[in-house]
Amino acid sequence: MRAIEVNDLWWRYPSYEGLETDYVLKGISFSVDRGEFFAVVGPSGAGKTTLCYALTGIIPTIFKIPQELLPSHMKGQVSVMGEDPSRRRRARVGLLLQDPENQFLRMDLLHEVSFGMQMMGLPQDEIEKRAKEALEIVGLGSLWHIADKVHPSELSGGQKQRVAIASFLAMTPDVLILDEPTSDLDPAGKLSVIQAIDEVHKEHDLTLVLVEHNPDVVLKFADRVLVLDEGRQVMIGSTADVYSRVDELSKHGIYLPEVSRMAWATGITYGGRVPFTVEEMERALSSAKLYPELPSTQETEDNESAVEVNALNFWYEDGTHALRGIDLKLQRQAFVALIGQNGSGKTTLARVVAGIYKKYEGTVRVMGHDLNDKRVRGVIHGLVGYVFQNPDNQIFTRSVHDEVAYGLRNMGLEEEEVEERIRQSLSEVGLLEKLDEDPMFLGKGEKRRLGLASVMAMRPPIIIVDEPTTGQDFRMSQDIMRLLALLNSRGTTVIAITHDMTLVAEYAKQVVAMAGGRVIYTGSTRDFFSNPANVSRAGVMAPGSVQLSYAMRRQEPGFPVLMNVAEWEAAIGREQMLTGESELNKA
Amino acid sequence: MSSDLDRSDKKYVKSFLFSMKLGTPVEKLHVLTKLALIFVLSAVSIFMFDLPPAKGGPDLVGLCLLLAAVVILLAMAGTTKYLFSSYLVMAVPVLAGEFLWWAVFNPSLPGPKADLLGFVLPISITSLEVAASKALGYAVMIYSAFLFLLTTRDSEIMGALLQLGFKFKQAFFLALTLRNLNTMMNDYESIRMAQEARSGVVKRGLFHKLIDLGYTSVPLIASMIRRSTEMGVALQARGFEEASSVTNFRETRGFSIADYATFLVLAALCVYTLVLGHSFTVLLGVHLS
Repeated sequence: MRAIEVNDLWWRYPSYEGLETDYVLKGISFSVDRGEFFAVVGPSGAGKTTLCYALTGIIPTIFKIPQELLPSHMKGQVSVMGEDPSRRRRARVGLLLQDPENQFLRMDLLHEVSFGMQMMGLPQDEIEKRAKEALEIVGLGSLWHIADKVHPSELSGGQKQRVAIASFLAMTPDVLILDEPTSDLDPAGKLSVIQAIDEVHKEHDLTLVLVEHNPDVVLKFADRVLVLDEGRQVMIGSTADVYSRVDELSKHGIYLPEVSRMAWATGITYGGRVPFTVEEMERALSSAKLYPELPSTQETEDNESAVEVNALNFWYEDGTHALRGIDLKLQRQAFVALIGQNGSGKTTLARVVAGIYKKYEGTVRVMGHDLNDKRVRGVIHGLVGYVFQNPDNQIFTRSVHDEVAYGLRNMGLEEEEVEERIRQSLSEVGLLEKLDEDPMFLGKGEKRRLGLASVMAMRPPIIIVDEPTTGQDFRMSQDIMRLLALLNSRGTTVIAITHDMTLVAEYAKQVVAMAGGRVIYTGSTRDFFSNPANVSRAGVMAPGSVQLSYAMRRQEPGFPVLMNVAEWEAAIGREQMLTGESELNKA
Repeated sequence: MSSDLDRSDKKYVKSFLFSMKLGTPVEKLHVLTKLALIFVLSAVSIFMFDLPPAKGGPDLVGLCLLLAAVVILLAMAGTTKYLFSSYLVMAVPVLAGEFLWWAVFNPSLPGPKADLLGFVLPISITSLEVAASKALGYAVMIYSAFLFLLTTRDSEIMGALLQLGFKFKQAFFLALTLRNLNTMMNDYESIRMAQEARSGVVKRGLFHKLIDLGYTSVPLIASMIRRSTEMGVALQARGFEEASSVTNFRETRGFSIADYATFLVLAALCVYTLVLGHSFTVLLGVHLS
């Protein structure tokens, strides 16, 4: 039986300025079987979230478009469990959005999970029974006895997502739609949430539609995948079929597994397609003799420290001991990745260094200046630029020009220099042509780049970037990281807080790993990934390239750790050059 | 900043504003009792600072007693020491302003002039009494409102409104509005930090600081719009619009002995002051002039 049927769906949002907007969905047609795990992928602005809204009936209902005007906004049909979702009589479709915080409606866990059931008019004992079961299913059964006392904001990122899932599971929906439900989570949290969802999907024959950027998640869990780009349906099929078309997916800016990218670059195949997993790549390479060569490392001549932290302790107002005796030294001009699980203390440490959190114990020196000195606190923002995770929270003006000028004018610069710096930084982030636009109407990636440009223009010797690539598509992430690398090559010390280990391995020269408010590793990125124990202690997941190196080490103990696609490409390329047309493709 | 929460016991719960300790006497009070407390204390405060000279003038002793009672209740509410002290301190400049306003603009009320260490002020003692009573009265109102926000949660408000006969959706929306105070405070904090990070090295005067405050409204409003849109989607996704018969689930709660005792004290206070028109200053024979 079909759970979802979409036939030639077109949709455009109403405009409140009297102008006709372009269609956001352009002729989408697909169906999803009952009990299927269906994935939707696509770059930012592809129409993924809009499609989710259409499947739940939120559009057109929420816009209250008069019946006679509806055909000029919406064409085609959507059917979920045999009925039009905008006219459904029973709540059968759950929708979980990217940020669970914005979807929480109540101040305690018990009422949050129960809210949908209250709307359904279920009896009280049934609500209680189902709420308890739903929390147990998502692995939060241990919180049941305090469920009426726990505010959702007290939970970790993974727990929040689980609560949001539980609130829909309790309603026993036929279809659950998840729009990038794990984008803010660390890799371990992401995997555990998707795992929990998959278990429910299998046990309860639930139809799942998952919007997700991460190819490893899609390949591991989804049965089929739909690819959208600029509102059009560009591919649909089994995950294996779709992810085999590496060239097409790359053109649409879709994230691909690292091993698929390296296989595509070197012409390696596994069972007639590119390998998707480390295991498949390992098998494809099993008969090959590789010639890995590590790039030469450049010793930094400047041994002066950009940041020096001694015996640092920090407590939040509620008594949480967030940083516990941290000692750390970061050299000038380093590109540092600050990594660790959610709640490990990364952001807290970065905010102390940036002079945002001022009440701490210990010593923090930035570019040789002690932050305990009140005179230094007055100039710290000229030394450390901080780009916050949410770009919406750092836009203060109504034009792109004024936004960059804001910090510069606060520095007391001459207008001529302000203008020169604005043009230079906007040109570097590719936003010069948007000089007069309202930043609120920029796209997500553009807002992120504007935030970076605003800080770059102030030319601080240190830039801290909090989760620069969260929720960004592949192209945007690469753009931002290249920009940071460019700044670093010009002498800026870059500290990037991130969960994306692929980007860490590709761009960062140094890693600072944190767990439980302590620094558990500081050193070169290659040394960090060379020891799997470091990776495991930090609670992160090694990127595909590194995992493949570990796999190769099992056959050849001295095999070095290759950290990115380029290094693997070089190793495999050398093998192919030395052996002629290698035997790799016979695997 | 959050790591996995998995505690066997829980001592604090989030309220509309920050958090409160579980099991304190104030936490156990019914929300209607707390509302009654605010209204009665406010009404009595107004009565006390407006008492005419024929009845002994402003009841400064009564107002001091009320303020002491509210501060003790605030301390008993179990909010963190930092919050407790910062809210006490934060209100001081407002109340000092209030005092000066009344003293300066009502300087010539009848009565002897105030004498400060031998220097006769151009303000009568009665004017100072009125100014002090106004400041004390507003302090009682401000702190009792804090007390309410610091010790109340959405389900309590909803329960109380349902007990008063409101419909579920009406009660829910009022509770949702109050619930978002907390979210808005968190957003404001993030925005303020982002602004400070780009504050540069120029010394900021009061005027610039006020302009900066205005700038925070841009992201704050944008974030409120975004949040409200997503909340609308969340409500729709949980069947809010089509819900016809909504179940009340663990929202209402009964009155305890502590509630009845509080009502009794409030009733006695009302009778003594509002009905009989008595003054504690007169009762205790305190003479300030």
